[in-house]
Amino acid sequence: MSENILEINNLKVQFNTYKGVVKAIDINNIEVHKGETVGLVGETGCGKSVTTEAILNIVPDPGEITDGEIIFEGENLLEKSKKEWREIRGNKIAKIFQNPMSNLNPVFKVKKQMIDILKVHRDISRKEAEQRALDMLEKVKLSNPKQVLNSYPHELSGGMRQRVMIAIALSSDPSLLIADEPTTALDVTIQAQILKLIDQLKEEIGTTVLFITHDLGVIAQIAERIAVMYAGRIVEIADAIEIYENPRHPYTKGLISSIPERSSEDEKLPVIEGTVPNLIDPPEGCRFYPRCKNRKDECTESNPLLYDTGGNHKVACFNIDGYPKEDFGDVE
Amino acid sequence: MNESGFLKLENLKKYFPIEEGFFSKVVGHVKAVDDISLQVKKGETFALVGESGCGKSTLAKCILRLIEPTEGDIIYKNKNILELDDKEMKELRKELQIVFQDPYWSLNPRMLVKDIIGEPLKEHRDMKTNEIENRVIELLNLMGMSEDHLRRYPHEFSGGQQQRVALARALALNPDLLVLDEPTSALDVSVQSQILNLLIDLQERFDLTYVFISHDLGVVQYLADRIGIMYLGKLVEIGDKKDVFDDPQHPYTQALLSSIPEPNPRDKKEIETLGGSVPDPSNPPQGCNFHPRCPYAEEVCKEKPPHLSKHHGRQVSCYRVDEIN
Repeated sequence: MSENILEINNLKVQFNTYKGVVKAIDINNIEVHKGETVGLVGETGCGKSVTTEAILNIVPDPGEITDGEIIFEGENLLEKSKKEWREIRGNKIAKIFQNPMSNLNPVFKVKKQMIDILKVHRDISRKEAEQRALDMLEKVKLSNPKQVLNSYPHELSGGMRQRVMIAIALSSDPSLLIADEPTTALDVTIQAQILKLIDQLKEEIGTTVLFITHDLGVIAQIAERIAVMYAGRIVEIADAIEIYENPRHPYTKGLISSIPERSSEDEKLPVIEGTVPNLIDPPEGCRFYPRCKNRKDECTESNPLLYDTGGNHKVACFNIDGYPKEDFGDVE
Repeated sequence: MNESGFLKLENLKKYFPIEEGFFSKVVGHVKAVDDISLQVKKGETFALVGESGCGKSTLAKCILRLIEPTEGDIIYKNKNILELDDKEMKELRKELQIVFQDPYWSLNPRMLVKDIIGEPLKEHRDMKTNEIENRVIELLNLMGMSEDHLRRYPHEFSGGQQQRVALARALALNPDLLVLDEPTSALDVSVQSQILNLLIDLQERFDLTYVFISHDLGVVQYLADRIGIMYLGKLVEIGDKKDVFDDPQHPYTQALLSSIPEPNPRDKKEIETLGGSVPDPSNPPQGCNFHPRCPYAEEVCKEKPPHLSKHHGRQVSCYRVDEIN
């Protein structure tokens, strides 16, 4: 197996609100290998974005990381000092966001924003930085990079802005790129262009990509491995083909079969009954329990940990054949 | 009434003026809906598909006269609804209803569910309070919700439930035509499938006709009977769902369909990307709107706009449709 660039163990993130403590994230384990594209997929509010914020240590108030470790290139990120974080954030780990308009500064030209960021991380002259910015815009296949460099963000189309964001993120040659729903705000034809671009640049620059999305079509096209998240927990991780063809967790099964494209016409769409639980007071044990068709009493007793069913296919469900009995009783 | 005479749009146009300066001088127009003609049959689901800014929502609102079209006719049950006065129009509104994309914005946050769903009944029907309440409960049950939900505010519900409330309100007056403007785009897939199933059930039970607006081709493929593809204010192709999906004829339809990401990792298709992006609608290109992005464009395409014409059992608006297919 190849080297891990990122490994998250027992990560817990909570938000202290007036209504109570929201237990947003409780990730047992996830590993990202060097050079691969891992897709993190889940529905609204399942904690995908908070996970990426935890990785960059930018969980917004009133959230806090209460437990666990995030190992990046062999070092625990949660033990880093503020100064060390400046070397990592936006440099070794870069992120592109869902909505480029709210992440580009509307009052500065693209040129200034790109140069400023380059100069923070590198000891280079303005001229060199400008050249680098121009090269990056060319790399993201903007047809007229010079003109884009001298534009304000509002003068660009949605697709062009997202290209600029990608150029900025990749300008520091990051070893890990976090793409948080980068195509959700775009139209399908533009989405196709951006997906192709991310894939090509990943090969060219040799970066690792953690791709967050709720779109099961997009993730099938871009990811090599897929992690499925539900109510703050990873419930299944496997190779992309394995997830789609042989889903084992009941939530993954429900999710895959509720894609309209995949069902035949005159059939009813299969649905997962019920809704996502409230994370202030999540269900005891398995968080999918209230919606699960195969639930058993023991599911409420403890939290099912990810279990490797072989072939690097990990599932967090007690009802999987061979789930080790001794893992029962590992109550949090 | 014959089936095809149910809803007919003829040369419908909606131009939004662009005003400039102190005296709001009109300096140009955004042609949001530009010369659209189509027919919706009774009981069918007609889907309007296109990317953002192509004018599909404007068209939806024009059908209900929520915005007044600039030109053209809307024939509903053999009446031109653009000629009706306010009073007649109010009568007709009982039969024409709409559900919007985001229930968060379309439900009044300060009203209880019973008042939200009961409001159309209060406005249009001579019903007593307890009759209204009974009807609201009936509607909630129809949506898979219960009496317990009557005295709650919209924010107490999840997105899927909010959309059910919006649907219940739209159905309160037993309409014939329901315009659904991206009713599931704000929802997650697992909730989306619940709403899609509900829509199909309701259509069968009440013999509803849907005009379904969406940019999500997967949903359209599942729900629609016929499809109209829009690009920059114009329809480029209209046909039966099966024809359009299996064998798209217009180059834009072809590009659109090939850019849908296939939810199957084995089919990692070499995505054929369409270059460029949608042109500025206030300054559309000469000739065919699509020609700057079209791989097959020729001189004729740059000169004058093509019109929809019959082709292989559907309508396509392209000069070169015979040569490229």
